Amino acid sequence: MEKEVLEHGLNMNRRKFLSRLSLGLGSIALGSLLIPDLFSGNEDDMMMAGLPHFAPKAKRIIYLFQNGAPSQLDMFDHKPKLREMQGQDLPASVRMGQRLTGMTSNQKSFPLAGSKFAFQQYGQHGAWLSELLPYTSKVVDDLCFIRTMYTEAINHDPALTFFQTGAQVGNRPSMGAWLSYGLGSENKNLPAFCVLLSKGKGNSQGVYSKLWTNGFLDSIHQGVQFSNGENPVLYLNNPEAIDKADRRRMLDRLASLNEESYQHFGDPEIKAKIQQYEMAYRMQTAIPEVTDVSKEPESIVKLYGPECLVPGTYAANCLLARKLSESGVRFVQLYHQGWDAHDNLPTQIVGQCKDTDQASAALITDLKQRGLLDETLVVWGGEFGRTNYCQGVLTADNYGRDHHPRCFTIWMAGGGVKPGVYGETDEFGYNIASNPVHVHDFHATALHLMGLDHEKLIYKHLGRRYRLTDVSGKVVQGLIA
Amino acid sequence: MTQKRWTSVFSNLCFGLNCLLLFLALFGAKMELPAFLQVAGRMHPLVLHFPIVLLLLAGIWEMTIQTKNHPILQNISDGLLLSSAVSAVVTALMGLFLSKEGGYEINTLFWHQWSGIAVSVTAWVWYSFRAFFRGLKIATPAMAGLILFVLLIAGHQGATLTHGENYLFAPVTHELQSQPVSLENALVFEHLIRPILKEKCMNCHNSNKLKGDLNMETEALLLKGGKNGVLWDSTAKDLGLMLQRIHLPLEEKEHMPPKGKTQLTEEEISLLYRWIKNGANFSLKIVDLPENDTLRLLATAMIVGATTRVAPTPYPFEAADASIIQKLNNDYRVVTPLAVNSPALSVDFYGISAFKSAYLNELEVIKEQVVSLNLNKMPLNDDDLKSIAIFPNLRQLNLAFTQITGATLGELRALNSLRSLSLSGTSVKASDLEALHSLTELSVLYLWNTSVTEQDLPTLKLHFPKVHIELGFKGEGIIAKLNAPIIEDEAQVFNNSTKVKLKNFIRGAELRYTLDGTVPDSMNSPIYLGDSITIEKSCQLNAKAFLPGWISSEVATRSYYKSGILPDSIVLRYPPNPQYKGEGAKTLANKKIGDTEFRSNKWLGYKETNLEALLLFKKPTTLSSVSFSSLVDIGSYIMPAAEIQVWGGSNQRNLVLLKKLNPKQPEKVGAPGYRVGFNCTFKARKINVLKIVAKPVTKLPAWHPGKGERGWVFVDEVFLE
Repeated sequence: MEKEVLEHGLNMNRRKFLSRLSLGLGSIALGSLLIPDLFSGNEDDMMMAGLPHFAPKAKRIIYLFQNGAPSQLDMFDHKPKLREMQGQDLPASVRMGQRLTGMTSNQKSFPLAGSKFAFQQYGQHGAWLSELLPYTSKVVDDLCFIRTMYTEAINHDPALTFFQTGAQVGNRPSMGAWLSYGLGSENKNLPAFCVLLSKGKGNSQGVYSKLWTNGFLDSIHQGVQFSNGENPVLYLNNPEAIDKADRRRMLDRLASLNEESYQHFGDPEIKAKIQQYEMAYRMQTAIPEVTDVSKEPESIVKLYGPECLVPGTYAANCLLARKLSESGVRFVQLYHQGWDAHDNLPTQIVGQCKDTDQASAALITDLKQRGLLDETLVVWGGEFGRTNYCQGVLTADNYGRDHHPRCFTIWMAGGGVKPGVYGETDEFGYNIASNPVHVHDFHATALHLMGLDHEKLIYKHLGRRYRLTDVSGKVVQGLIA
Repeated sequence: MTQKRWTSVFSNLCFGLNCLLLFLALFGAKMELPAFLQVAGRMHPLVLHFPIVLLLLAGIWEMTIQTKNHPILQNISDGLLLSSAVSAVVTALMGLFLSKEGGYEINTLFWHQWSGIAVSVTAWVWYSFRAFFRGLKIATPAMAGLILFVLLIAGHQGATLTHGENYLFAPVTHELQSQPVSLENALVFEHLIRPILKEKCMNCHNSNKLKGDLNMETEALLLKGGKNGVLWDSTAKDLGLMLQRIHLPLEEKEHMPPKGKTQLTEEEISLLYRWIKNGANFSLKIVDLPENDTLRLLATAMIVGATTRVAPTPYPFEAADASIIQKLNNDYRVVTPLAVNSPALSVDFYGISAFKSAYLNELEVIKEQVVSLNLNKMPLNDDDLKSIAIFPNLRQLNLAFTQITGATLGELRALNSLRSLSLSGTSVKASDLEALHSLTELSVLYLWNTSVTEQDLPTLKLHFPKVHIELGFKGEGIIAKLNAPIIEDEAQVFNNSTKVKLKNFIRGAELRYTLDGTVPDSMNSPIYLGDSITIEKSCQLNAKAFLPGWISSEVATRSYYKSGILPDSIVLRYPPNPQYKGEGAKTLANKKIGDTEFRSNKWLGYKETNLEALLLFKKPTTLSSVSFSSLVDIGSYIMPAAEIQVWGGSNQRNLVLLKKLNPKQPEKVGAPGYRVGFNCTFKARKINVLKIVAKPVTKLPAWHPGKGERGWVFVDEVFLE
């Protein structure tokens, strides 16, 4: 009886429950008609690739990577306190027990080493620069210095990989590959992502092709490494006795064979291969047009320095980067090795700056005078900074610096960047005092300038959605004009 | 009976629709609406009044009959409840459809949507379990109260969606809209700091709500601080309590503003930080601060930003058909929208040899939409400018390094929206530009590498008062240094002769060289004429580049060795370190000179053991000199050998020491890697077996970073005479 009373009160019994259930399911089935891809598993958000999510400030990126970690304390981050306290031990209250590399963790003392180089303020934002950068100081009003970059890795390879791919392990797509995936190629006759290598005289660290890998993205997005000889792209010329028409016939036949093989196996890599052959064919005319420096006016040679005509130098790569970028290459990645000054820093850094200062500044001037700086984002920086204390023996005119991931300086220019100085480090140049910028934040901001929402630029792989910024990163508004 | 049937139909319908509603709300993010449902959606603002009235009525009725158990009264109540539940679910569904049209503020929409759904579901629950609720004393008022509450939220959020934020209370609160203040008059505290405090802090720290005994409303009260003391101390390293709290991690209990409240932006924090660091002066004017002061720059940016930030004007045209855009795209002409959903198009041309003027004309179908046109380096001629003048909305035009002469530049007058024009590297003359002065929107003109010079600027400025004219880098007066010639050769060690080529990338540079170790001069040294130089004996080649107007280059140097006597075979007593094993034993006489890169495969490297090699001759050979070519790279622990010994004799068991040498060791770190030779001469002697020994340094000196460790010895070649 009690059951019946309850059933009456609830206006519910088994029959009613079952009929209601069918009604409920029926309405859900009806609703599902309105949602076309509900059960198909197609993720159309992955198909969004190809256009910016919103109007971009920059169309292209040139990334001047200073591999080995330049010393921010000798170039950008002026810390007179270090010179005052020259030779005294780094206070434990500043270091706060933070980890060091195995190269200095056994040192008995951490003598502070002020920079040997004189600093001066330049430009309307009063950016401090050392005497090592006479050319950069002339374009300082176009640059945005981020003095408070920080990273998680403390050794070169993971830090470099982190900066390039957003993860310390080396299996994720590189930044350039993400942009190629997200925005496609501007010029269909050139790869969207090109890589140029050069090496200074300083202590250098390796760069590997994993840094410009496509990771799990289609292989069409991987960076194309240019050779640093006189022919930047090897094997592009037709062999003797083969003319353009022969080459075309050969490629057509090859494409039909590949197509057959694709029909058979369905491997998307085959499609990528057909596309790459086609692009290589078009590159046969496009590359000589782009890489020919013989028609550059003499003022350009003086601007970049005569080194810019010697293939394989940093200056030549800067000039080539400008030419590629101007021809619609979405992402030009330079690496300049030799910044890893654990010892003899004063000697090494002079050479490194001599190699890079003029050409880096020249690139800014050159883009500007062509009206391209507004749409090109230029980034200059290493994978981390260097310590404020000396590695090895500190003498009156010699010191070395170990790796320092807790704060370092990079600069950006052009494409929607707000010129000025962003962020502040403490008076020891050891910790960040205000406005930290994490590597993920840097990526998020760069993508934002390119018109991409870093949270929407995703690729699903092995059951998980991946982003360049992994699961964090925020756009740093203070860097944006 | 009929009445009961209808009741049951509606009750089931109501349940079904509620299920549908929840399902769509949860999974319908990608719902595609047919047109008729869109119409239904748009009726949401009309229909929504029914459930409001019906629910209120039903609530009142249920309350009044609560104590009376009369079937007719209950029937009326049932009807009211059911009709309100049905109208609520229908309204909610319509609202959901309407929301798919987009354009609503996401946060408000979220609350409106879910409170609306809550109304619908609650109404259905009430109707279904009404008999149960009627049996409980407090259930009815509680349900009525709940429904009223949720209804209020839904209604208010809905009104906010349609009428905007603070629509309801605006007439009574009438906040004084802060007038934009000019930079000259702006006070740092009054116009920048106080608004921040007001927006982010004063909700809890005011005269009504004294959290932490802190009231921020007046300057005096700010200086007084709260129960934990004063807010700031400009002399302290962390500038006192307020910034401490602000900088704590968000999760900390003490962090301010508390988690869940609107947080300070980074700009606001740095402004507060700077202002306090500057002494927290209430009457400080922005313009009183020194130029380049960080606070001044920050404050100026904020004040100027607030007055000049204007929303980008939307484009006055519709998007072009996607199929047309697709058709216009080819390998050499790229037409893309600026962004997803943007009607504006950007057109770029690539491939100099592929360019045809016809490609430009084909763009006529999208002439309204093109806002950016890039023809950089294309072989464009004067006539083509006519085809460019057709784009009424073009804002950015790049004609750099095209073949235009400027004669027809006037054609571009039609481009009324043009903002940026690049003519760099063309033959345009200053006088040609006058034709463009009517372009009122123009803001930047790139004229680098044209005949326009500084002298033309005053005249140009008259025509283009608002335009930034970029002349770029001319490089006049700069004397650059030539780079050193590049020496290309087949081999540094040769038998009879070798050929060497010199190269320099600067056009017209004259290359001079010497073979006697002296520095080449621009008068007497032989000029390199492009043919290779033949070298027939061991020597040092020096080369230098000269060009009038340039500083002459550094000297490029390379040594050449004529190989003398070669052993018939070589045996190494100990294997070299596996990382630096060169080509094995024959490395010592393979005529390959290593460079300063110790990782190159041309060096034999030893650390743990001595380098000991037996050079064997089939016939007795007269020798008087043995030279070692070795590497020193102090930073990489590669030092000169500690000791070098040369032994000789007729067979391996019968050797005599011919020469012992203790090379001079370097004395400090510093130099990059360099090559060095050690020569051992002795009295000429006929031998069949030559034994050479090079001992690595056993203990690196105290000045070396690796002091006490063993050093390396690297040898690449041995020359015998």
